[in-house]
Amino acid sequence: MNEPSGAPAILIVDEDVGFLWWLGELFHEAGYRSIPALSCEQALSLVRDVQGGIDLLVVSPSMQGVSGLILTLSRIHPPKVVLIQDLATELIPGVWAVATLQRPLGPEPVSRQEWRQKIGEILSQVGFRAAS
Amino acid sequence: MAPVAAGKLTSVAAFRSEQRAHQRYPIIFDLDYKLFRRGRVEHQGSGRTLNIGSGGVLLETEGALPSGHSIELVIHWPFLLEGVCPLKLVMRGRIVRSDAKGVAVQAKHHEFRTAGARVRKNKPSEGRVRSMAG
Repeated sequence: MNEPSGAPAILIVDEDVGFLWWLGELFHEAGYRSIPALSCEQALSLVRDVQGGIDLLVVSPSMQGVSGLILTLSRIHPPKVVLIQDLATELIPGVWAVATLQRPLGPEPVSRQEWRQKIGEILSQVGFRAAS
Repeated sequence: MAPVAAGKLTSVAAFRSEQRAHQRYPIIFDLDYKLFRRGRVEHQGSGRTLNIGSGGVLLETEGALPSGHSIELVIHWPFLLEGVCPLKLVMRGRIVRSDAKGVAVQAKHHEFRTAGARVRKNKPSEGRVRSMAG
């Protein structure tokens, strides 16, 4: 299953592997190239060869090295930033986020339909468009 | 004041981790597994995930797997990075339940790896292969 060629690239960085893959699949489903990484360091090694740079970074502000990651990505192609929030609103100093995404907390099962809608809203806020 | 603040931070981190551990995401991806007994591979096979969380995975396999055993899962990210570089999640843990609902694995360690090697997309005629650190 290949990614859509020429589609904007979305880098997702989060230490919660389930949420990371969940978001990755949903963004892919919406027609975007999604690149998941468990750490900022890993993200940097994965995106080194991504042609055209990263268009959208979805990241938790609590990740270690997030400012450095944004700085490095910005040298190639400044990405728009969406912040993953969980317990409280967290920010990255000096970074303007175009949207925030609330992490699901607690044992309630997540709904694919509801999350497809959330992803569509995020893409709309960012100025992208869902493929379907 | 500092120790109090540090204590609060630790509590927040612990609470955050606890909340994440309970969340499960219904993601169905193919996987390969190795079942260990006394440090040796006893059996290997394939299956698919039913859901994934930071605390573990629920999976289904063709045959039943015994509870209590150590297991290594290799879950394949189905979307290729730049069309050429496969990613995989390697998760090690223990089977905590195995029944008609599936095999529940409690994760002890997980990491992403790029799968083996990748060919540079823009120079296919040269057939250059660069190995990736796993």
